[in-house]
Amino acid sequence: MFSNNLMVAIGGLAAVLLQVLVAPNIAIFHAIPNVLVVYTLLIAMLVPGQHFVLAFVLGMLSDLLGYGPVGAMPLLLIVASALASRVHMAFDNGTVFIPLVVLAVSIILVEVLYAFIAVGAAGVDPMDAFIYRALPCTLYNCVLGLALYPFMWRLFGKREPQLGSVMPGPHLQ
Amino acid sequence: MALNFKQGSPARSYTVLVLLLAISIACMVLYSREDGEGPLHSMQSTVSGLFSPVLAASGGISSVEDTIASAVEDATATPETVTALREQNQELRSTIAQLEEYRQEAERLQGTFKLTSAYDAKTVTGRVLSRSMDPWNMVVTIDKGSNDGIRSGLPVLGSSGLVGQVVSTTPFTSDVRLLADPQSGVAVMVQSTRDEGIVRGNLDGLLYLENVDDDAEVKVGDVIITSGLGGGFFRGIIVGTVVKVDGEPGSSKFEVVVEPNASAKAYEEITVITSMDSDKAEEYADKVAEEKEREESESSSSSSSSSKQDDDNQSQDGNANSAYDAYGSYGGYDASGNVSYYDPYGYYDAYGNYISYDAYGYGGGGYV
Repeated sequence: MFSNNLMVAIGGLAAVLLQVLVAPNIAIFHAIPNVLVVYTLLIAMLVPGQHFVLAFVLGMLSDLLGYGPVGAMPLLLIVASALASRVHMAFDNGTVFIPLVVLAVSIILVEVLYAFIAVGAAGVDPMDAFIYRALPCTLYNCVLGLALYPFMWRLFGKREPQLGSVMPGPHLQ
Repeated sequence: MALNFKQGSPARSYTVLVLLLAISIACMVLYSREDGEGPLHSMQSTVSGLFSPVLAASGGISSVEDTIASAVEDATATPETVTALREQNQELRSTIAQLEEYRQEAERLQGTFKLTSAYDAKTVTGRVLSRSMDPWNMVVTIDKGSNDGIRSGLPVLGSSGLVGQVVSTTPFTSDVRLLADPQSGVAVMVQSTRDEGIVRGNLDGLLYLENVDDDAEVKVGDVIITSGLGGGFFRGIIVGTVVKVDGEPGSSKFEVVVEPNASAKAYEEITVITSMDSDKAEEYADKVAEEKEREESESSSSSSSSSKQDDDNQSQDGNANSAYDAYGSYGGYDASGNVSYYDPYGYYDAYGNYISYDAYGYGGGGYV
């Protein structure tokens, strides 16, 4: 358990550094990937039971390093990671499809709700916020999640996932 | 810490969940109620300041990415191609690239210097360290802070106009919210008519002129300058030019798009104005407006001249002389076939066809 905690913490630190150093430099138009969100949600699915504190800490760091309202990202990350963890537990059938769907839905939930909280006060059209930011960022984060999932599974799971294969989740092993 | 729903104590897990949610909500409420000097805002600035060395490294990531791409390209080349000549060539390329970098930097700084001189402004120029790591805020961090005399609210210039406003500072760094950010708003006026409004950024990356009076007169080409109202910006700083007007003032579909005068591409050095002479700034904006008008009139006379010329060529069987006398510098050939006036955009060939200069100053730009 300690080993897993340590790995989760190190992964969190790496996610913060990636977000600060790399993410702004790989933006496509105005869509910037959010490594913190992707990492937290993947951990919530792969290592259920450790995501609340991780979501809070990473969310708080995200807000403190950024310019949005402090408290918004931890709130959304905690809610999204709790939902992702529960839904993944309930529907995981060992394929990559379910985690990716759960990840995509969780990410879009975070992005859309954050859009309302962060820029709602600025009088921005919600449709603009969705089209110009939330949707592109969600797609970008889903691609990032797709790339990270096998790697994270190797770190935190037992077996490498294969498309369409039956693969027991780590909580079932 | 065991926070597992299945393996740990459910009660403890729910307690932690509720506690963390409560803290998050409390932070949000406190943040929205406090002013810029409140504890959470201060903590945000402090954490940003602590991470400034890391942020500085972020600025170099782009160049590192280029270097890595170049290294990968080199590594995949066959050994035969890696000759001494190629190495030498690459060294020369590297030197040229470095010199080009210095040249561009000098150009940018010259532009900034010219602008600040025209404004008679006291300024602090900083290098951009990093950009916002979230997509909702268009904010850059520069390597100058309160120790250099920068404070929140000061306007920031690029090489040719306003680019944003300082929103927070630490002793060594400052955060600048760019004009295109939806949360930015600048009190402005149309220079020619003095009609006032507010220029706001939008998520689509454009600037919009809003809150304009119903009887305002706004047309394409109008220069927009800061009005100084609200105290956030000094009066007279050039913001941009109106490029599109849809609808009538007062109607719900009225929309004015403003093209920023400062380049929208990535900023590397930007200048914070700590004090300035607003009258001189307006004089400079006048000059810019005059220059734009002159350019527009030149381009329109050029197009009308060439079209007129075509008509006359057709009607006068190639004798174009009398047609372009009326258009001044767009004269062309005299009766002997010599060029009578210098035309910076092109020339007429022996058949009376107007040939525009291409990008290199040669007559390869094609017929007009």
